Amino acid sequence: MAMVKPANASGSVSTFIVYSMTVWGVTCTSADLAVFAACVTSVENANGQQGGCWVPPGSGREFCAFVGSEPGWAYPPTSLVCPANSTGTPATNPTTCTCSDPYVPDSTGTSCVLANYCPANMSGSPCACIPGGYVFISDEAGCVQEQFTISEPKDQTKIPDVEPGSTAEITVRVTSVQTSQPKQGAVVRFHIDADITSGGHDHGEENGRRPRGTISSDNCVAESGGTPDTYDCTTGPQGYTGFTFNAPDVSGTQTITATCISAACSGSITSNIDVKVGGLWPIPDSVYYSLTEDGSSKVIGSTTNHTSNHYLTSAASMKLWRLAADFYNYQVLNGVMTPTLLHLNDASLKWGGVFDLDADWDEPHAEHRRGTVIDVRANSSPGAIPDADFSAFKAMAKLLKVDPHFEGGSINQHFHLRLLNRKE
Amino acid sequence: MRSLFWMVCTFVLSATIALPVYGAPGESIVLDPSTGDYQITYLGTGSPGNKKNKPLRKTIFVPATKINPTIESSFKWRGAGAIVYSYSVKNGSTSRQSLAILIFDPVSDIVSSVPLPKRNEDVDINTIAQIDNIGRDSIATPRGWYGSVTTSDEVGLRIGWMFASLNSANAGLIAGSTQDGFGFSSKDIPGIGTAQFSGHSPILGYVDEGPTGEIADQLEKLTQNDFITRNAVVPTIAVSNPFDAAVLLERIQTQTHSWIDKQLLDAAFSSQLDRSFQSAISACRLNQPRVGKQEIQTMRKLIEKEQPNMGRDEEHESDKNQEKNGDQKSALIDRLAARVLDFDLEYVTKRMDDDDGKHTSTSQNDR
Repeated sequence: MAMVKPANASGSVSTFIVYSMTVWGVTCTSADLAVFAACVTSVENANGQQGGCWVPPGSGREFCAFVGSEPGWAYPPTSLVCPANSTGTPATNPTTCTCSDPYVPDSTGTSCVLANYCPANMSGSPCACIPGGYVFISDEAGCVQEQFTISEPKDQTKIPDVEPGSTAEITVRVTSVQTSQPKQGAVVRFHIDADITSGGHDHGEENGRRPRGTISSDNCVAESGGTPDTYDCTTGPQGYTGFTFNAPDVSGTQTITATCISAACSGSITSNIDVKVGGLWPIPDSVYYSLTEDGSSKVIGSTTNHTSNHYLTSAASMKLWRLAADFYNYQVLNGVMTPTLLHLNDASLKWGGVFDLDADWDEPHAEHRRGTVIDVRANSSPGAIPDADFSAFKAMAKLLKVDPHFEGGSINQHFHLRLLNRKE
Repeated sequence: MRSLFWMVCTFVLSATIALPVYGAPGESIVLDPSTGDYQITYLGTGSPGNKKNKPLRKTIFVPATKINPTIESSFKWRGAGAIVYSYSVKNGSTSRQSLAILIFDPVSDIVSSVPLPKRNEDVDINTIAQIDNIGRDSIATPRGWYGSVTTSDEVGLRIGWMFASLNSANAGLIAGSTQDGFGFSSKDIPGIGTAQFSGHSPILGYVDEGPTGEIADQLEKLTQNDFITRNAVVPTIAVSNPFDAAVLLERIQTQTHSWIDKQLLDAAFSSQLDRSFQSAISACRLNQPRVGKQEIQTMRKLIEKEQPNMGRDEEHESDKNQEKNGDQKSALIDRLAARVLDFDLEYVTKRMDDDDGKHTSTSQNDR
């Protein structure tokens, strides 16, 4: 790992004495007297005269510098200087110099040396990230505080559909932004919400709060503040956490938002999950039954709360068509000039699920959830099956393996047809 | 053996419903032994804003099984390879309801002007009414009855008849009466199928949306099995075109295996037949029709030995005949099954003769 000096590195060192003189054009300088002496005595002039001798002003005699106690020895001129790689003004500040960047004082404070520096948020030798959740980034950047985020699922804004009342597994993963390693112990807050008008429900929550999905999990607890439909889930060793999503009986779009709320953890992901019965289609038009009131375009059973009430599976539609055609032909064979067309009331909503007649997200419209059941008018209203044909209609249904029974009492009486011969 | 089978069927249905069944507190389904009806007590629908407060409600389910029907199956080989299936139905004198519905489900195929869809996924909603009319025209329906041919939930057809005018409480085939004239033609050879009978019963009704939960599950079992079953001869085994004796023998053999569980065929006797089946099938594959026919003849003799009177055309599985069947407990094959198997084997032999160019008589049509 390369070491670099931090930009603000600096320090002071001491000045020191040096011996210095110029002999016949050669300058000898050293803090070490012996070295100095060796230097000056090694200098000779053109006449072979040995260097290191001089005539001090006013002395009238020559002195030669020799090492040791040789006669005629004398200390040469001295001066205060700053150590190498430092700057200062010994003349005015005779004791202190400042190391030049990128040098720092050595341990004795007498010289400037290149220091063993660690990058940001690192220490020790070799350098290592300082404790407290730092991770190494690069030689230049050193270490940074580790950050975490929700890394999975990636780009998943739509979770596969789930049927009302059934379950789906919801999982997220928290990993390190810097290392991609899983984060254990992170807390992810999940919030479940619902699209109020989805799933064929055109009413709001005036008569009750629309059910949200619930969860089942050993890793999650209800949010401590009591926020509805909010859960805190803790990640495991591999960074995963989640729960089993228990879809409500009411169809519609549910929104699940996951937010990492642990320290140094960020990120949020929102996904939609459609709670629906798949494979439901509008009942096709037929000459053998009527989806609207006679002489009107008003759809039978349609209300402002549930405008679309005529959805069935393909197999159920087939059975309905056959039964209606049979009933029509039966009347023709019996000489009825104007056969009664079956008048079709509620089947299922477009996504199935609870068909809450009272717009309260609850029964009483039992069944009518999976597109295999439909109500056929059998009272005194226009288009109802005539009383005289009730038994024949029941028998005809049985021939086609359709299970019929009456519902609704005398006023609202209708045939409740289990078109695939099974309850929902 | 047949009577034993009936007893099993009756027991299964009765065991489902004989004891009171309970759901949520206060809910129950109780059989009234004096009437045979079921008193259903269930938690009804709560009112808006008070859904949790569900009142206890009652209704009566009158099963359509208060009948004791019998059926006579007749099957004859006509020209062009078609077999005519005819049925006569009697509503037993002890029946407490008129017989209103007869259904065969499944029937492998019948002769019709256009092929009828045998699987629901093959049905085209745009032609369905036309197809059903063609099906209806392809079956024989007695006067006063209404016929229906539709696609079975299994592979095949669901063929049924209902009494056309059910306005009065006792409308339908009244107790002690017999109705014949039901039938159809098919190129498929017979097997033993099931006839479902329903009596004329009131329509089950609720003042609200009816029961939910466990009590509804139990009630569903009742309504889904609201009929009496009897064995009947129906087209079951498809004949390949071009004719392949080995394949047809295999199919017949498979059909006989299904009779063991129905207690129509003794398992040991079935194994005895299997040896001849295998020999005949191998011979046919080796282009040794003479050997194959000998093995078939061996099987027919075994069958005749067990049921020497099987060929009687006047069989009518009446109440009286059921009593007679008590004398036949030792038979290793049920009489109706013996008739079917003998017919099927004879059919194979004749078709093999046709293939050999040896069969020139036209008297084959009636047997």
